[in-house]
Amino acid sequence: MADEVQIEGAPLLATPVNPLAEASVALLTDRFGAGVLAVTEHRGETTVTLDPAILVEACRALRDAQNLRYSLLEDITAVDWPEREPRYDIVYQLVSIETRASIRLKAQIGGEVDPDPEIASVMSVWPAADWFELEIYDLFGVTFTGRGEMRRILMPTDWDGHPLRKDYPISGFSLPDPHWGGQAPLDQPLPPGIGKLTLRTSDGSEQPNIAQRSEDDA
Amino acid sequence: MQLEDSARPAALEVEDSVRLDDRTRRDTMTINMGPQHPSTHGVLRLILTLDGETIVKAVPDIGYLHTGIEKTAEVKSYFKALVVTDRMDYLAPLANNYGYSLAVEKLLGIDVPAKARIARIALVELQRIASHLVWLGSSALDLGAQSVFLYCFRERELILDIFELCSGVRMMTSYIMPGGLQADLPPGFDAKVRAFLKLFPDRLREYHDLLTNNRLWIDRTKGIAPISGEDALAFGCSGPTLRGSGVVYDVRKAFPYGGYEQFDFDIPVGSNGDVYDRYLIRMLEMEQSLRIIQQAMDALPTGAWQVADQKIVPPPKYEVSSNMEALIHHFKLYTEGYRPPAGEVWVRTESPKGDLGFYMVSDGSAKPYRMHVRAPSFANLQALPKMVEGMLLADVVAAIGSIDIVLGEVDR
Repeated sequence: MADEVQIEGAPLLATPVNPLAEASVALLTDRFGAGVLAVTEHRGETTVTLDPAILVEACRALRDAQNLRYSLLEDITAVDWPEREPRYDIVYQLVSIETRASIRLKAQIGGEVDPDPEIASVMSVWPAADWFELEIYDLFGVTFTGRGEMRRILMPTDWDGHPLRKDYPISGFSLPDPHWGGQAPLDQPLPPGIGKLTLRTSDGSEQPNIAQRSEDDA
Repeated sequence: MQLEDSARPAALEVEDSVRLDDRTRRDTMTINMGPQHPSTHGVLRLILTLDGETIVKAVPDIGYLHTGIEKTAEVKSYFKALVVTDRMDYLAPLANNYGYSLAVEKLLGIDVPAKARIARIALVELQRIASHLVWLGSSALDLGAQSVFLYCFRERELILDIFELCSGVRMMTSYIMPGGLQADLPPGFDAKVRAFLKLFPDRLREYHDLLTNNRLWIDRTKGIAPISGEDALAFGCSGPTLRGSGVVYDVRKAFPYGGYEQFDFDIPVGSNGDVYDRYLIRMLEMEQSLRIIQQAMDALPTGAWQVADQKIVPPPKYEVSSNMEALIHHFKLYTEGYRPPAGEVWVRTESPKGDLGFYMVSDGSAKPYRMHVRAPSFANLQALPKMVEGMLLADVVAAIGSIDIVLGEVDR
C-alpha cells in the first residue's frame, strides 16, 4: 500500500549525507552504551532513541562535544501512540550552528502503567526548552521534572484534558451551545450572573457552566 | 472539572509591595499590556512588573489565538491540510506552504520539476519582502513614524497583486503545494515581477532616507532591548533576531533546501543585538531577496510546473471531463488522497521570521499522523523578557516590533 505512490512522473528526492550524525551516534554509543536503544535512518535523517534516564546527560554530552557542538535546540515535540507501550515519543531536534550537524533524539515514556508520565527537563542544557516543554505539558499532559512549575501555555488555565492526545476528540465537546456564553441581545437587560457563572443555551435558558456541573455531579 | 491552582500562571500572584524595614518599603506595579494593545501585533498579553518606568519583570502570556492547527491537520488528508498552514504566519502564507510542501515531498521521497523549484524561490522571496514591509511599517508606526506605514503598504500591495495574478487570492493563496504549484505561472507574471524589481530599489532607498539616519529613530532603537549572541542562541532564537546579535545562521546557507545552493546572495549579520541592528538586517535582507528574485527570474525555465504523478497533484480540468482515468484520479485525490510511506521527517526552512520547521509523522495512512510546526516567532518570543527587563516601558513596544512576531504562528 505504501509503495503505491512511488510511480513514474515524480523525480526522486536526493538524500543528503550527514557524516556528523554518524559521529554523534558514535559518541552516544561510546559514552552511554546500553542507554542508546535504537538508531534509525529515514530520508537521510538520523533518529537516536535514548533511555529517558540518560537523556539529559546525553544532551549535555552532545552540546559540549568539540567536534559536534549542538548549540541550538531547535524544537521539542511529542507524538502520541495510544496503542503502543510506552505511549509517548518525546522528540528533540538538535542543530549545530558551528559544525552544521543535525540530529533527532527520541525518548519514549508513558502508557498503561504510567498514565501521567514524567521526563527530565533539558532546560539546564538549553534554556530554549522552556516553552517547548510547557507546550507539551499543555497539549499532551507530559510533566517535565527538574525545572520550574508546569503551567498551561496555549490553552486556558482551567481547561480540562490535553488536546493533542489521540483520544481527545476533534469536536463534540459536552458544552452547551453556544459554549462561549451566547450572544446577549442588545435590547434586553442581561440576566444576572451571565458571563460569569452561567451559560445560556440557544433557547435563552440558563445553565450552570461546565465547572459547576461537574462539581454538582461529584 | 477542578481548577488546579498549580495551573495558574505564577505571574498573576505578584507581590507588589515589599517591606524593606520598619519605615521603608519598595513598591512595584504589575500591569497588563495587551491582549488588545495595538502594539502587540495581535493578541499578545504581557504581564509587566514596573518599578517606576523600569521593567522589573516581563511575562508573556500567549495562547489567545490558539486554533488547534496541529490537531486539525491530523484529520485532513495531506492534500487538504495545506490550507491550514496558510493561517499560521498570515503575513507570509507562502513561506508556510513552502515548508509544508517540502516536508510532504520528503515524506513521499519526490522532487519537483525545475520550473516549480525556481518559481517557488522567487515567490517565497517576494513573500519575504512583503512580510518585512509589514514589519517595517507596523514597527515604525508603533514608534510614531506614521508615514512609513503607508509607504510600506503601497509596495506590499504590488507584491500581493502578483500573488493574486498567480492564484486569484491575495493572501491565503496555498499556491505552493506538495508536488509543485497549484497552477502554471500566468502570462503576465514575468513582466510584473520584473517591473517590481525595477521599482523597488528606489523605494527601499526612500525607507532608508526616512529612518536609517533619522535622529528620532536612532534614539528609539539604538542600544534598546539588546541581547547577546549566546543568550539569543540559548533561547532558541533564529532569523533576523538571532543574526542581529552577530550569530551567522541562515537556514538557506547552512542547510540549503529547494535549490537555494544555486543562488548567489549574502546574509546580513549585526553586532550589537539591539533593535536598530535587527532593523538594519531586515532592510538589507530585502535587498538580498531582490537579488535572489532577479536570479530566479533569469533562470526560470519553461516546462512542467507540477510533478506528472496524478496521484499527488490533481489532473487538469479538461482531462477530467474527457478522460476516464483522469476522472478516477481526480475523485481519489479529493476523497482519499495519497499515502506516503510510514516514517518521519523534519524540514527546516528560513521563513521571514526565522527557522520554520515542519515535523511530519506518517503512519502510512492518507492523513498526517502528526504535524508539528516549529514556529520561529514562538521561540523568538521566549527571549523577549531577557531583552526588556531593565529597559523602560516605552522600549517594550520597540522590542516587540523588532522581533517581528506573528501571533497566529506563536499560538497555532
